[in-house]
Parts: sequence; C-alpha cells; structure tokens
Amino acid sequence: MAETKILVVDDEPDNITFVETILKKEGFTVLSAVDGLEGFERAVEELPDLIVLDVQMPKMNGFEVFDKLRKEGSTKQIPVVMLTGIREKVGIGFNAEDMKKFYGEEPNGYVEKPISPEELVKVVKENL
Amino acid sequence: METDEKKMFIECPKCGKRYHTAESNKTYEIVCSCGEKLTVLPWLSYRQSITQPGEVECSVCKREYDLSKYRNKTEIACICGNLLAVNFPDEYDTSSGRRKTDHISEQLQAKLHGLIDTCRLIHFIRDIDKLLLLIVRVTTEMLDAEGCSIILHDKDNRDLVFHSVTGSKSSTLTQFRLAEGEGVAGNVIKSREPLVVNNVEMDSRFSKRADDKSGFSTRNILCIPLMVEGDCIGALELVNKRNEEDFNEEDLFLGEAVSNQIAIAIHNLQLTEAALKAERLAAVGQAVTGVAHCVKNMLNGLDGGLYVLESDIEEKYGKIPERGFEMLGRNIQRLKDLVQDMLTYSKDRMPEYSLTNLNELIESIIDLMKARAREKKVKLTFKPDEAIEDIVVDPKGIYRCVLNLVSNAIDACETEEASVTLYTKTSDSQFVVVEVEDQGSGMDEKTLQSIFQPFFSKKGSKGTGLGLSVTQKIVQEHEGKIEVDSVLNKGSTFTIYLPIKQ
Repeated sequence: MAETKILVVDDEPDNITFVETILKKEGFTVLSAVDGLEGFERAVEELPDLIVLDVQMPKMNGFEVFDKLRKEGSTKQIPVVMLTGIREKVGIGFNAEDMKKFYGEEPNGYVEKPISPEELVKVVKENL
Repeated sequence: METDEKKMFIECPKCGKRYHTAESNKTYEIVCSCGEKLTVLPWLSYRQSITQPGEVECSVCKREYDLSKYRNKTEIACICGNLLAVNFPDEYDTSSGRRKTDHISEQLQAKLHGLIDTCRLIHFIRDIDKLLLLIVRVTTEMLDAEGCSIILHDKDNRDLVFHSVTGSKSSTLTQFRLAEGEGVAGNVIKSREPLVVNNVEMDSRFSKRADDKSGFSTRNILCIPLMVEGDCIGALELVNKRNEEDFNEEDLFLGEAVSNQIAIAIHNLQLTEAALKAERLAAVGQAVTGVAHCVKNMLNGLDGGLYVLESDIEEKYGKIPERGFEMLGRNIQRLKDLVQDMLTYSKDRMPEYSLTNLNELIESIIDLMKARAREKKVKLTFKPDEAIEDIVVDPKGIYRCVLNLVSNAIDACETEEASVTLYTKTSDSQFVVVEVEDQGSGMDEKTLQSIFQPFFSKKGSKGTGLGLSVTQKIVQEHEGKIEVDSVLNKGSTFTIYLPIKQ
C-alpha cells in the first residue's frame, strides 16, 4: 500500500508536533506548514491525501486557505479537516457556521481543540 | 460696610421681641410669635448712626428703641425701612445691657452649629471611625454632656460594643461589651425607642458594669436608637448633663437629629463598601478569566507534550514508565479542572442548549466513576426513571454538575460498603429531578451554610472549593434549583431540579 501523506497546517509549532506524533503513530507520512500561505503552496506542490487545517492563522486564515484549495483545480478533491478552537465556537473572530455560508462549501470534518488523539484519528480515517 | 461683624435685629412693634435678620435688598416678612407680621424693608437706603446709649427714636417713623437691649456694633432694621446703626465709642461698656434672651439664643445657635457640623463632617470625612469619634465629640459639646458614646449591636457576637467614646474614661470604655438587652442602651436597642433616665439609681434598666469598669459615676443618661433601613444597629448614649442639670426634651430632639446623621453615615459606609466589594470582585473576575485562558492553552500544550514524550519513549524503549506519566497526567487533569471551574465560575459562560437524554448522560458519568467507586469500595448505582423525556439543557454543563456531585458523594463515603445512588425523577410537569444520595459523613449546619461559597472545601489539598459553586451556577443558568439535605454521620442528598423548557 502506498504511503498516505497528510499535510498539517498550524501556526503553533507545538501543535504541529502534537498532531504529527498522533498521525505518525497511525503510520501516516506527515508534512507541515506554519502559516496559511505556506500551507496552500505545499498543498499544491505535494498534493497530500488529506489536509489538517487550523482556523486561526496569520497571513491567511484556515477558511481562506480552504476556499483557495477548493478553487484550485489540483487540490479541489483533497479532504480537509479543520481544527477549531473554542474561540471560533463562541464567535470571537470566526464562526464556523457563518464561514461555511460565506465560502459556500463545508470542510470534510471538524476537530475541536484541545485535540483528543482518538478523535483526530477517527475523523482523519473517516475522510481518507 | 461693616455689616460682616455686625448683627442686625428687627423689633416687633407689638410685643418688643427681637429677631435676628439677614441683610437683605428685598422686602420679606417675619411672623412674630405674638402673631404680628414684621416686614423687613430694603433698609440700605436709610441710615441713622447712633453713638449714645439710652433711649432713641427712629428719625423716620419716630418709633422708640431702648438701646439697653442692644449690644454695641449692632444694627436695628426699623420696620419703616430705616437702619439704625448702634455704634458707641468704646468707653461705653454695654455688656451689662444684654438681656437673658441674648444668652439663650446664643446657646441655641451653638447647638444648631453643632448639628450643622455633624452634617458637614459626614460629607468630608471618609474614615468611618474618625467620623463617628468626631460626631460624638461635637455631640458631647452640643448637648453639654460629660460623655457620649456610640454603642453598636454586634450581631455575630450577640452583644453590644462601645464603639466611639468621649469623656474622661473614654479609653477604658472603648471596646467594652454589654450583653444584648443589658443596661439602658440594651433596652433602647431592643425597644427601638429613645430613653431619658435622669436618675439612674432609681432605674432598674441601668447597668453598673460600665461604671465599675471605668470608675466613672453615671448620674443621668440620654439614649437614642440608631436606625438604618428599619433595622436598629445600635444606640447613641449621652451621660451626665453638665452643671448637675437633667436632660430635657430639647436635648432629646437634638440627640435624635444627631442619631439620624450617624445612621446616614453608617448606611453610606455600608453602601460604599458594598459597591467597592462588587467592583473588586468584578476586577478579580476579569483577571482570573484572563489568566485562566492563558493557563488553559498552556495546559493543552503540556498535555500534548506529555503525549509526544510518551509516544517517543514507547517508540524507543517499547514501553513507558507508567507511574510517572500517570502522576503527570493526573495532575495536569486536576489543573485543567480547576481552570475550567474558574472560567465557568468567573464569567458569563454561554451554555449550549440541546435536546438531551438525561438518563444516557448520567449513565456515561456512572461509567466514568465506576473505577473510582470500586477503588474506594463504594457501591455506585443508578436508578433511572425510564419515563422521563428528553429535555433541553446544556449537556456539558449538566454533565459537569452531576459529575461534581457524584465525585463529592464518593469522597464523602468513609466507611466500606457505603453506597452512592443516583436517581432521575419527574416532579410534576415542570421539573426533571436528578438526585445524588450518599451514605457518607454528612455535614453539620455550619458546613451546610458554606458549601456553595467559592473556595470553600473540606477536602484539604484534594479539593479546589469550586465544584459546588460551579454546580450551583450552572443549575441557576438553567433557571433550575439545587437543594441539599444532610445529616451528620448519616449522609447527604443533593437534588437538582431542571425546568422542562418547551
């Protein structure tokens, strides 16, 4: 079986390490990017099997990255799992529902922060 | 004009009584006690200077004035509008010409000034102890007494305490305590009626204890209750009218006026303190929320770090040192719980309501707590009412409430084979009831009164003291209520009522 490549995009290096560890344990190959722009570029370059995308990021936020990925032909079909913090849930800065309406399409899955390893693995596997 | 130092009078043409008048450019009226109306005219247009004592007549209306009634450097506003300036050369000593009424009005003035002083003090002095002491000093002088004190009712200690005391024995009497209902003050506080006792020896209500303690010899007492918002908080007590006199009705009136001022001062202080406390709490709440948020994020990082460390060790050595990791994990979880409790308690959380099956929710709590119950040899059972319908609640909030109660219940069980039982019930059609019953240590009355206070804990280092505060807050957010029933050494039952919302 070919390796499964997952791209993790998060501006918090500790979070990347955490997610990376969880996913590597499951046998996935993990790539990472530390901001939205870099995340989009790496996605186009590497064409991963799935993207784990943080919402709150500088330069380009998760929903903007998601929108670009859907508009770009080569990345259109890549499943995206969003990492949402409590801030997004209560509507400070972002509101997942509103963003969905705004960008039209919905990400394939959401994982709430603080991340539970089991939950992340479950949602990732469901969307591969 | 030298009117600043001069006093002006108008004399009643009918009875001869004199009235002190303010300088005026307008026409105004004074009604004399004999019924006569005295019109004070703008007198400054006329002026007649008198430099000889004795009888004199107004140069305008020919009215006669007896100057022996007037002191030097006074002015007489004649009812015709003329101003007679009495201005003798200094060699005429007119002090002998003063009438007794002059003396009385001066006394009254001094008293009124005393009253005005007490009003002023309230606005300028912020320190309540200093203020009350100044007020009793002014009152002592104003009422011509040998001593004065404010005696406050200490409701916690169930006695009376001398708070601000003047007089020769003030230092020994300050903080002296009387029993509730003891002495004249005790009677006044109880009956809420003022009392004048002009011969204490003859009055059974008088208590000699204060005199015995201070060596003072009380002859007579004037005592007035201090009423704040319908509640009697203490009394103002004056002792021994000077010059061997008795306290009279006038003293009583003045004393009542002062006691009202004191009550206002104390009430103001209470309001200010309450406002300050609320402000402080709000500030602390804000700070706690800010700090807790940061700490929470760091804790998630710690949790992640622990996971990464665990994975790396496992990968490298094949197995992980469980003891240490378990310890770290448990303590991170405790910190997380504390932070979560603090956040829930200190700010307005946004409950997320959804239709919830309460029985299922409680089952999941039982599953979680089974291990701990087993460890403590506590029998944990759930007796659900299968008929209850799904209700709209914030499931995470209610989960937290019930988990807190179950966790407390298990902790309270000290004997082996004690049991903790959970029930769900319907109480009429308005509430769904969750009951957590334990056969633990129970609580006494004093503990029961404090359990919902934040940071109150009987668990030592194990508890944060926030569990029940948070539980209560969440229940209140649901517009529900929480009740406790507890018997020492028998056990406790906590009952949560959750309204069924349409």
